[in-house]
Amino acid sequence: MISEDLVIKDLHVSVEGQKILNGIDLTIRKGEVSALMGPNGSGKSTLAYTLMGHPKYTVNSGEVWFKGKNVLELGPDERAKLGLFLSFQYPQEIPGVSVSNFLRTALNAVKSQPMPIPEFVKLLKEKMRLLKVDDKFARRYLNEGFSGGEKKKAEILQMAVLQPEMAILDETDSGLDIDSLRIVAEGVNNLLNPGMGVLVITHYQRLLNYIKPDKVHVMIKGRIVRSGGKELAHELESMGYEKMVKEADVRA
Amino acid sequence: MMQQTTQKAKMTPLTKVKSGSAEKEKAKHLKSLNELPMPEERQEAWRYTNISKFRLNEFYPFDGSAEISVSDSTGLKEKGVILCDINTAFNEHTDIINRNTVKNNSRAYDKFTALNASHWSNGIFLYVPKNVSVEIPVNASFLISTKSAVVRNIIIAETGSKIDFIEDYSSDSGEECLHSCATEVYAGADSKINYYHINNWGNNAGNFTHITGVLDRNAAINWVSASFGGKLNRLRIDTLFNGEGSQSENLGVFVGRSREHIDITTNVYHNTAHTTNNIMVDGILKDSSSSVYRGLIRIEKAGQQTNSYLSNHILKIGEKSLGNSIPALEIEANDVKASHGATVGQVSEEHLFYLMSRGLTRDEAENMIVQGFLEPIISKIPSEELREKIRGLITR
Repeated sequence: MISEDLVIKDLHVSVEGQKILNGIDLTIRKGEVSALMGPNGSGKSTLAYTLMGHPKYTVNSGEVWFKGKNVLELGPDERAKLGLFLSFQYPQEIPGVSVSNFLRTALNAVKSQPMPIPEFVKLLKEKMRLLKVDDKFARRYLNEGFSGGEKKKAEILQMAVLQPEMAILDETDSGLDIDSLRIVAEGVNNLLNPGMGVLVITHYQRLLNYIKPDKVHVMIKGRIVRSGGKELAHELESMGYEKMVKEADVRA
Repeated sequence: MMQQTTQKAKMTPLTKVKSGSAEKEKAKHLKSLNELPMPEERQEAWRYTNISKFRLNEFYPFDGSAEISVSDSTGLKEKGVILCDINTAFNEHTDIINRNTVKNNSRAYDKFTALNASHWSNGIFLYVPKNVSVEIPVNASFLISTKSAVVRNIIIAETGSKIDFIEDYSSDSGEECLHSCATEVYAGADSKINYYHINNWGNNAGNFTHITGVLDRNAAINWVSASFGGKLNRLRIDTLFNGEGSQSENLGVFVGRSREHIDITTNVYHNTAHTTNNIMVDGILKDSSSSVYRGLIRIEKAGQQTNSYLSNHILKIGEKSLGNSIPALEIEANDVKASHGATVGQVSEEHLFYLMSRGLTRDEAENMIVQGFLEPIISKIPSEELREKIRGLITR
């Protein structure tokens, strides 16, 4: 049977000749929220970019399987069509391309049938309400001149419209004030459904107060060193990463 | 393609006539054509265009015409508007022509100018009388299906008049052809002209188009140009601010593909005080295409209280593409505001990855970035129909 989960096997990745991921084994299940935590520089974002197919990241060995496909053999656009989605930590500003024009093009690209314009407009309005952004948002150029909070809202708006089956949220909480954080987290919670898996990448426990994880994994120096339930996030909150970093050094 | 056919249906062909006075006028320039040397790349007006490779003599005797169609002008006749073949105008309206052409104090004259002046075969003449507002845009389309076509147009808007003029040029095939075009636009005092120029050449066409706008007191010309195609596609727009308080905006976009070379010049000459100019020309270079943009702002001693701005941005998509930008300021007056800015940049891989991560193929992502890059200019074009037409040509 073809697995509906995202399965990462012994993944080794380097960037510009430097090894960042040193054998990641991880399964992200549909219908669940998995959290990936770890200190800065542990390789969390490298994993996110690698899963989405950024050309700068070189896969030295390993496999990533999703819906019967070896994801690593696909281009970023094919991965999106397969149902993968990455919410960027630093979304790009694209001059002259309106949010609405972009989202319609992207939606038609990932769906087999183009959506009629009135139906799209209705969908977009509904999702914009969910993220508490006004109608003008749709006409603005994608991320251009957006505040940190607006950029993250735009990312989750894209997720809401594209309805992926496996969403990776890379540091979605960074640069957000507490009100924006709540809105963005509520937006994500609203989208959770049995047909979608979510990987929340975060440095801090803060976001996980709003988006409750089913599983928590801790990454240190390019390896998963601990996995557990949401109590693991609380443990990290009280004791920090230091002890685990030391343990990882001993093992390495 | 569909659009062009429907537009053609509404258009009527402009018949060419013979004109003795036109022949006399042309004969004056024959000597210059023979005596003037071919321009060279080291000359300022030809920098970054390898003109020595262009074999002008292959198009001898330069005797072809353009197939010209114009929009229905029956309603305009009652208002005294004249829309006819340029030769007809030289037969019937020499007084109007002479009264205006004398105002053209442009010093631009070289072998290609002389070629046009000595060989023009047809073109349009458009005249808007004093205080007449033409509400519906006048359309003219020029199709080149001969080896050469030499065109001359004269557009005159008298004092207090108002007109929108839309012209589009294209060639029929991928065959080698030469198109030479000289257009003079005379904006009388307090007149307002919106001038839209679209060209879409086959990839073996050589185009040399020179448009000169002459502005009287408080006149306004707003130029919009969109250039596509051509082995050598040269468009020069000169704006001569001869009357105090005159103003002009010049918006331009271009896209180069395969091995095309796009050559754009926008020169402005502030010959008098209180004049205003704003130029924005942006371009895209795909594949192995190349371009040069030259933009001169010249402010004479008499040009006090002038505001003049120029910007040029080029986005390179093709790794082998080459973009050149030469903005220049020559300022003789001491109480003016003038500036220029130019950038040439490569499309960002991070932008491409971002869009592709949402499901767009590389081609779709590139197209979206290209369209977005030109959108700040396109969104300023006041006609929705033209915006859509230009967007269509950009992503063709």
